[in-house]
Amino acid sequence: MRPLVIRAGLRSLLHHPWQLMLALFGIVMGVAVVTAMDLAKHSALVSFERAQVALFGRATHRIGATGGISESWYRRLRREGFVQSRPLVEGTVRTGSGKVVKLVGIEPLAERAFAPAWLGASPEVGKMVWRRFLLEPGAVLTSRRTAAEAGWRIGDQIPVRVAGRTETLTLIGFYETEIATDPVLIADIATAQEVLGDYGRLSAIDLIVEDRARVEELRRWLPDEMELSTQVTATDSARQMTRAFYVNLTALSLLSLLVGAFLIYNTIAFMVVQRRRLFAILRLLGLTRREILAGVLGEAVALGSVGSLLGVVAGILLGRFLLSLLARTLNDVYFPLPVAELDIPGWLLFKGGLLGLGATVIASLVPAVEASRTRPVTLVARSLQEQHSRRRVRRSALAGTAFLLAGALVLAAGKELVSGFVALTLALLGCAMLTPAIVPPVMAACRWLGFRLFGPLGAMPARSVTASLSRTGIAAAALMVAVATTIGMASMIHNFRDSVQRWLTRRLDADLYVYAAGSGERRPLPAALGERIAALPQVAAVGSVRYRRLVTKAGFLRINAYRLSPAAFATFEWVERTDRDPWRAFRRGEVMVSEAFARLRGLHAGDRVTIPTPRGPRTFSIFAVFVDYNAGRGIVAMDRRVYERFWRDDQVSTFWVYLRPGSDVEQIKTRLAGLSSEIPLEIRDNRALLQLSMRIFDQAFVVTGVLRWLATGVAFVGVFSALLALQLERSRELGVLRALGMTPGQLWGQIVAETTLLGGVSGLVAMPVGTLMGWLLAEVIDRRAFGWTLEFGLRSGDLLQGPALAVAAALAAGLYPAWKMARTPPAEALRCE
Amino acid sequence: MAGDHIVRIRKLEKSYVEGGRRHWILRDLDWCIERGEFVVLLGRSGSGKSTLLNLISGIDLADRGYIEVAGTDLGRLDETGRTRFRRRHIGFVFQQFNLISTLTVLENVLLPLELNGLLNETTRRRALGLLDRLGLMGRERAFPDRLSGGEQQRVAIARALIHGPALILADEPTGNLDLETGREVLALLDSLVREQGRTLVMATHSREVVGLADRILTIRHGRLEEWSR
Ligand SMILES: Nc1ncnc2c1ncn2[C@@H]1O[C@H](COP(=O)(O)OP(=O)(O)OP(=O)(O)O)[C@@H](O)[C@H]1O
Ligand SMILES: [Mg+2]
Repeated sequence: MRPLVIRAGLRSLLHHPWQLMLALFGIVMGVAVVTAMDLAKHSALVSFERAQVALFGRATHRIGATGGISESWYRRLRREGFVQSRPLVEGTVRTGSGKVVKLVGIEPLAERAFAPAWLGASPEVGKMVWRRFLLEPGAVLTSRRTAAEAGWRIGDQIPVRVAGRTETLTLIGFYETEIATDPVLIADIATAQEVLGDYGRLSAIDLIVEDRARVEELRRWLPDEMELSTQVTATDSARQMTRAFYVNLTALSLLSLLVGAFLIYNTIAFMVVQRRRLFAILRLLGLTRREILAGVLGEAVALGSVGSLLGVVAGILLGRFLLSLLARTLNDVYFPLPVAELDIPGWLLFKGGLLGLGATVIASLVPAVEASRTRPVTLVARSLQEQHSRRRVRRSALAGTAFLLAGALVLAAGKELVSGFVALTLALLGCAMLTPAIVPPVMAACRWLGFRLFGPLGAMPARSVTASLSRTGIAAAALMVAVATTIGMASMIHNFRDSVQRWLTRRLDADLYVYAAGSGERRPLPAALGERIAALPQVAAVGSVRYRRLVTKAGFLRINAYRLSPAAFATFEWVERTDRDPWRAFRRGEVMVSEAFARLRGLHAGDRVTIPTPRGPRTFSIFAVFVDYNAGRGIVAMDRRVYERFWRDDQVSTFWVYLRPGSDVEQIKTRLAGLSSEIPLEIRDNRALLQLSMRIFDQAFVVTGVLRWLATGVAFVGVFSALLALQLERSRELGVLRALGMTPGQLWGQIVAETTLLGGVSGLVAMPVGTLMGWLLAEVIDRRAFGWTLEFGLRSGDLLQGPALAVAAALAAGLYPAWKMARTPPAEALRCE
Repeated sequence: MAGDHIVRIRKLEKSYVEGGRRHWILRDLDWCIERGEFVVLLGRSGSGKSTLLNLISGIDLADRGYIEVAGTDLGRLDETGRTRFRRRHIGFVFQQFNLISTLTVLENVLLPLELNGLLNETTRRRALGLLDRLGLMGRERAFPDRLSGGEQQRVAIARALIHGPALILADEPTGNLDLETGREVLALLDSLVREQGRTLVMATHSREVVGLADRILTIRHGRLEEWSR
């Protein structure tokens, strides 16, 4: 330890406290964003899991069948020795205010073994209440929140409409746990069956079976039409469904860290440049290279530790906010999620802190090595500083080109996500290293122009930018990275949105869409309803789709079974296809798969895919891969006739209704609504559906948008600090100008002109680089994570935002030093180093 | 081996390549400096005085030749070795003072002690005594940019001497000072060096020094010429 050396270094750092603050801000923000995102993602899944346990307890398996199971199976199961089992009836009812509420029928005694959280944590559900629950017709329990929202109190009679009938329920008590955001009423199984009109039928039977052999036995014992699925997979499925979405969030939060790291690099590099003289003197007096290297790295570690620590704390705060946004998104797009609480595991905080510290040290490596290379002889000999910095610029440009090439190689070599992100990072670093080389020629042009317009004084700003290239180069690179990241994120999001909108507009070709009211996974409708719709006079044609989720060894998949006309079929767009005629292949029984599905499983048009069906695994040829922007693990789409052959299912998820020209849409809507007496229907026209879909899309990207603004914030501060450092550092030189007779006004002009020039160059360079970033982000996030190919186009709004941001930050950064210099007496400025 | 030489130089060569052409600064230079000598190095601007001092202190590297300082062959040391050697055995005084602006006067003087692991109460008192000798009593807590040029140079002298290096290299120490101040500084440097029995090599344009020196040499065309009074 060398207290004096440390003191010398520290004091010179503290000479520029704001600079330290800004570096710290970079680390704090980077770490905060990554940590917050991690916490939010983790917490959302934990909440989902808790809700799952709250509702289902610790069931291991579920038996279900299309159209329900006969109650007798439950008794037979118990007789077979599967005593840890429970019956379940699920349905929806509509309350007086028209709200759709889930009604769940249970058998309290059977629930015990499953210990769902709501059962245990409900002090108000005492013995008396259970009695009433079992004996009183229409008795229901609900959560406090649902009751509060609906304005119900214990003892209230609640009229509900089911299938055209009105039934009356009695609220007899509350359970404490919030099990879902969906409003839920819990009733005795008999009550539920009665209310829903499903006498003698169950929706599902849950089981706890730990023994593998028993499970196999059960599987053999059950008839074909009953499906046995593992319950653990609910959380697994949530994990799988959100994987791509989570990757997107991770990638963007890491990008914020990258920008933060650049801010750190910029500051440390600057601090090194500022203290070149100090390092030279120390080297002269006998400090070794290694000691200087260790010193600078030590500073970085200290800075990184403080920053990471603060960042983790800020991350927890930010995490709460991001979680609330994320929960909404997950709710709208993926699965019902209860009010999520931030779960804060230590290892996530540790990981965030470590990332921050690591990023700081890596970012400081190059400046630290540079500092250690300071030659004491520069103090004495005629210094060739400028030539040195020219050489450095050339070297950095060469290295930058190498990085770009490496990035391209990595991108081409790997298909996975990590390689995509590595390529993105390499490309960004490469472009940053190339940036200083672009400064001198641009400045030469500006000098010429400035001279033409304003005379010698007009040429000065551009000249001074080039003259201190060792500093301005760093600033320009940092600025460019910050701005390019903003452009890249904006252009990725907007291009994605455009692609989705184009796709939806094309695909939503029907006039009206009819499906069961409710939320989450909607109830299917009977296929026969289609015939009744078609019989309406103004309806020209009816198509339909049935969605099914399947569990396979390779993960989840969705089956879409379409009944559609050749015209509706023509709205599909192909990513790739065989040379067979698509329509004929489709009708013949081949399947088409979504791009995400093809990517995830490495399949192509012309390949075959095996799917489990109730009649055993079946293999289908794939005639095409179609464009699809649905979130999830992918879709296998087939003709309805093919589907019915294997699944023996006569239900439909959505009807597509095509109207005759000139029909009265509102009138038809009413008539359609009246067609189904059992299941409440929801009817939307294509415009409304498009709007709804886009709203869901926007909801899905709310978090991404916030991340983008956070990155932009970090970027702005980066730009600001880089330029501010540059100017404040020159006080001596500016003092000379003042002493030579430059008025404060002229000085102000010089400074602002300089920062604006630099901001302008960086903003300009950031436009192509930002576009490249956007494209790479689309490649990494959309193609590699989601399996979606975007139509990538340039959007002038996103592009111009770059230079605007750079120039605005540049102006802002010019103001303070100009103001400060104008107030400082020249003599004072001349004195300080 | 004749006499007690603190510096021995044989066949030293130093050149720069600029614009594709090689400029010889020092060529085939031989030189020995005796312990306790006060040597003055004269020469026109650009003749290579600073270059020669930099080679002796090991902060610059020769193209060819042998340099031995205080019994150590500099050519056999690596960068770290040269650094260690320099911090123990050589003191510097420059035209541009080169004080550390973020350390106080006293801290600047204590720095070489710290680097050599010699910092303790005794040496600290010695530093204060030295500052006193140099007429800087009461300024030890000031920062360098608050001092006049002459005062700064006196601090630099204290810093060059405090850890008792055998060889002191001074590159135009009076170049930034007025005549009178320059004289004072020179006199102080001279008397201190002689008191402590150190060797001083000084590059300068100033003829003032000539009277104080034991030996005077001039660099011309890359070689040294002895000046006899
Ligand atoms: N890094 C370098 N690259 C090229 N030439 C150099 C370099 N350093 C010094 N020189 C040249 O070497 C020659 C000697 O320089 P030096 O600084 O030793 O002269 P000097 O005698 O100290 O002059 P002055 O009295 O003006 O200080 C000069 O011509 C100078 O231009
Ligand atoms: Mg010189």
